Amino acid sequence: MDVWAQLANGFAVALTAQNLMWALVGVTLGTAVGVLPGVGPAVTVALLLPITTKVDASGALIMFAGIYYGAMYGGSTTSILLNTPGESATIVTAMEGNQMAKRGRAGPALATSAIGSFVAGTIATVGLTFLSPLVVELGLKFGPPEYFALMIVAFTTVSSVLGDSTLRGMAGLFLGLAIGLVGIDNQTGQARFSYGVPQLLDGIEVVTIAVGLFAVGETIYFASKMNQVQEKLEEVSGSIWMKWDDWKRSWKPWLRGTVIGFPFGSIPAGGAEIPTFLSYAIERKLAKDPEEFGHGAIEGVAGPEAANNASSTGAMVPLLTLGLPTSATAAILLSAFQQYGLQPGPLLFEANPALVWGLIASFYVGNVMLLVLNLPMVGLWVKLLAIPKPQLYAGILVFATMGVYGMRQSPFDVFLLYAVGLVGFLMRRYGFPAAPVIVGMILGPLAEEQMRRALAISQGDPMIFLNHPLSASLLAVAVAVVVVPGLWRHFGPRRKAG
Amino acid sequence: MARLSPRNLLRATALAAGLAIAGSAVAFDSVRMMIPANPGGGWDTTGRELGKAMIAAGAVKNIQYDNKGGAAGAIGLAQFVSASKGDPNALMMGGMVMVGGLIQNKSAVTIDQVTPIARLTSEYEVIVVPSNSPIKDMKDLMAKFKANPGSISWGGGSAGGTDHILAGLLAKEVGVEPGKVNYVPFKGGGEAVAAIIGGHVSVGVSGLSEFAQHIQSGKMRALAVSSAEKIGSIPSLKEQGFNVELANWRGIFGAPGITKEQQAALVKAVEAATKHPSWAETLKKQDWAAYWLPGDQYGAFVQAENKRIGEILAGLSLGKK
Amino acid sequence: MAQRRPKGQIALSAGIFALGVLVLVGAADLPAGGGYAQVGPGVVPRIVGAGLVLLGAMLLREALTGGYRGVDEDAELHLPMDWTAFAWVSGGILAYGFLVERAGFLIASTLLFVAVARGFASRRWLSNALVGLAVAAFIFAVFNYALGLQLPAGVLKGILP
Repeated sequence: MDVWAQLANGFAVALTAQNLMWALVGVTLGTAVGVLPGVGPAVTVALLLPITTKVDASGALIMFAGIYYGAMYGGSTTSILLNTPGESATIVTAMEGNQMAKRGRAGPALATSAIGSFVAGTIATVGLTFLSPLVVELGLKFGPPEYFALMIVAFTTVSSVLGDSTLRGMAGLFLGLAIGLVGIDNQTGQARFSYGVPQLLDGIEVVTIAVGLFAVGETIYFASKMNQVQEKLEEVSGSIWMKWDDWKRSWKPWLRGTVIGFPFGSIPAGGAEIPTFLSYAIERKLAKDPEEFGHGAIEGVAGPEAANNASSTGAMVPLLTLGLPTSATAAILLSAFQQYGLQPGPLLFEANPALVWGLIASFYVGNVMLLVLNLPMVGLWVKLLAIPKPQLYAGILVFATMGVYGMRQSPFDVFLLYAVGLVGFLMRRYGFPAAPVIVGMILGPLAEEQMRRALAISQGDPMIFLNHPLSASLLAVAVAVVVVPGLWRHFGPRRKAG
Repeated sequence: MARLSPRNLLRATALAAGLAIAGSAVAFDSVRMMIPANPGGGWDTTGRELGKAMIAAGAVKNIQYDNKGGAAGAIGLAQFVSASKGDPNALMMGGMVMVGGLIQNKSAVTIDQVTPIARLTSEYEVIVVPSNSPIKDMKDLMAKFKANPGSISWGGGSAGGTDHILAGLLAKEVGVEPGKVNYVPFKGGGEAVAAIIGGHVSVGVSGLSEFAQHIQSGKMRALAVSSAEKIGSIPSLKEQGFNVELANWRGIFGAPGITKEQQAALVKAVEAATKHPSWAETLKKQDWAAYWLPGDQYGAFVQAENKRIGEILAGLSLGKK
Repeated sequence: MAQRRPKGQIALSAGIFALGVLVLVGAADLPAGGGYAQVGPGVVPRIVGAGLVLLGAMLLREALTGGYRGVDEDAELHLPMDWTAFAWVSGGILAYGFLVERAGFLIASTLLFVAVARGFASRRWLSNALVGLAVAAFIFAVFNYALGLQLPAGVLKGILP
């Protein structure tokens, strides 16, 4: 049977009343846990695993998958409205999204993120349907040297988030790298910079830093600096929907974000954060008016939001075709399969095509549901911004502390959050951008780990990075990203000075 | 193990009296289980399957799982010790890997701090190569390893874990200094599997359950198992002339500072689970052997393991700088 | 104002420099080599520490020679620190950390809400407390009853369902 026939059979499974209901429950729950900072899809699915004893396999798996990609829809909401990312993959969204909200454009920001998520989710599902074998093959080509090269590419895009001053941006980046060092070194099991504090052995959670720098730092800054100034949050002006111009500016970033996010989701250690950085960097490079970035450019919301959604669907590729989990949530989905005695992999496609294709078909259905569910919510969400400033910021902090405390149920993290908030306040006060800290914190440990793994494999020979064609080409891309703009400025046609 | 200060003893007696009145109510409303590994690995599966059986057996109504991976479980243990102290509804997965990891990290938290509940399973290790590897069999592998130890990269779980120990034991067996093993640790199951299938490391070492499906599907080729006898069609190390045997046991612990009665209640709940048919089914499905040992006997076993693994690790000069 | 040295900037730059030194000192105990990789756990910390020291020094130079570039320090000076507001917000978060497991999530969150609102000069104590309690109760209900994740009930344990 060809793919089309299989898919048609899959839809027959996904469109039964019962499975439609499970998909709806899943995506609704997913949206909810995405909105709440501190509760992720992995935890939620894990909590719901016991229902596998009562619900049939396709129903439960359709619901679990719905939670997974549904969370990516919800995560952007608090990023945009409150500058408090609900998931680590929506930190980048906060950069432009919250600026848009401050300029009265929360509606279009939320809309482009919902529609972008839909576009990305749907295209990624098409990719899952037709390209799976190809993508898996590519994913397996990635070993430690390739990952390291990929991290270096990601590092070179950092310049786009550095802000007005390269010096202060770099200081932020290195602060993030320093924070990333804290905790047990994975290659030797040695504790670094934990000063005997057991809570620090785990390393510091990205969410704590992000919420501290963004939400807490911002609140302290506004309370102690801007109170006297009668500057209030911009009322929502104009239509809450996207205008023609917003559509025109969004559709390309949606597509580019999808193309970046999908393959990233399908490789282990790819994650959903890095494609959002890359997408943001690319949108900024390609923007007609890069100056608008940092002040609410819709492209900077559309791209990353598409990227994180595509990556969550991308994670289904190795999971379904190889039984290989590439993220925490995927790992729990895998154990959900195993609850039913099913082992994802090529054999499952043959042994139980109705289930696999029913699940894939449910992704199409679920994404439509999410769009229908989330678009009307936009109107409701933007009303949040009409709340007076004291109560709005008080509410933000209640959510922020809950999210950080709730992750590990540790008061230590609350005090850490306050300390990070003070740092965020100082950075804000002296014009240091916060995003590079997050970038450094995520990329630093990954890059170090992969570099040391690669070097162990090559017995200390750094040529391993150049001998592998894929890693060498990635490094060439990195060099190009750094060198070409400089050459272009020197020898290229004159452009408006930045 | 629970420290017995006079005050604790008093409390324990009072509680025992209370329990006696309440009769044999061992059903827990809600239990939190710390799984000190990333989702998808051996402890994760064991913990979740045990949880399922506990629910099925009616010993527990609801279980929450808490995954905290890294450093052979030391991170999860530290978290468990600090956050769950005295909590009679808290459980933690553990096993041989954790014992080794703690020794190696010179961890401030030790396995003595938690309360032994029961030893559950044993599992054997398997040594695999990518399906297209030029390495033909175990003899071939060890010959190449002997000729140039660094050229063989061993991919497995965290440094100092069972996988690492097995590689070290094999090195010792063929007369190579164990410290010369080029070991590449990965976090959790998925990452190592991808590195092996993709051919990025020469050899993979892990628990049989973690690789079984990939051996079945032909993406990996199994060279040997670490049991005394062959498992399925995979010959043991011993059968191939390498005198190495290693069982990776897994067990479950309670929070530090819980009373004897609370410990007994947990043992009872876990025992009920292991007697439930769903647990037997799990063991069969996952190729684990039952390795039951409850309460303080288990505690004594853990102590003995602590000593034995400590000696192995020191002999391997793992973790020494 | 021209000769006024930006004390805050100087202190912050020195702080970054000091952080770099701290990282370097910590890295000194970590082996730089070893293993087949030849790159031990101490290498990256040394790079990061050196980077922070260098960046701190460069920022210090900027601060001493007319202040950070691209920051409108004068505009900042027109906005004096409101230490009262700062104290309310800080106190609210720190109190939350102390109280969340002792008094419980509901009480800690309500106090935090009232304190932050006061930091933004709202003195409607009662209505703020009620709104804060409502927000906290909503979160509490979602977590403890719908998701099955336990937020601490604290002193209200036994009173809450």
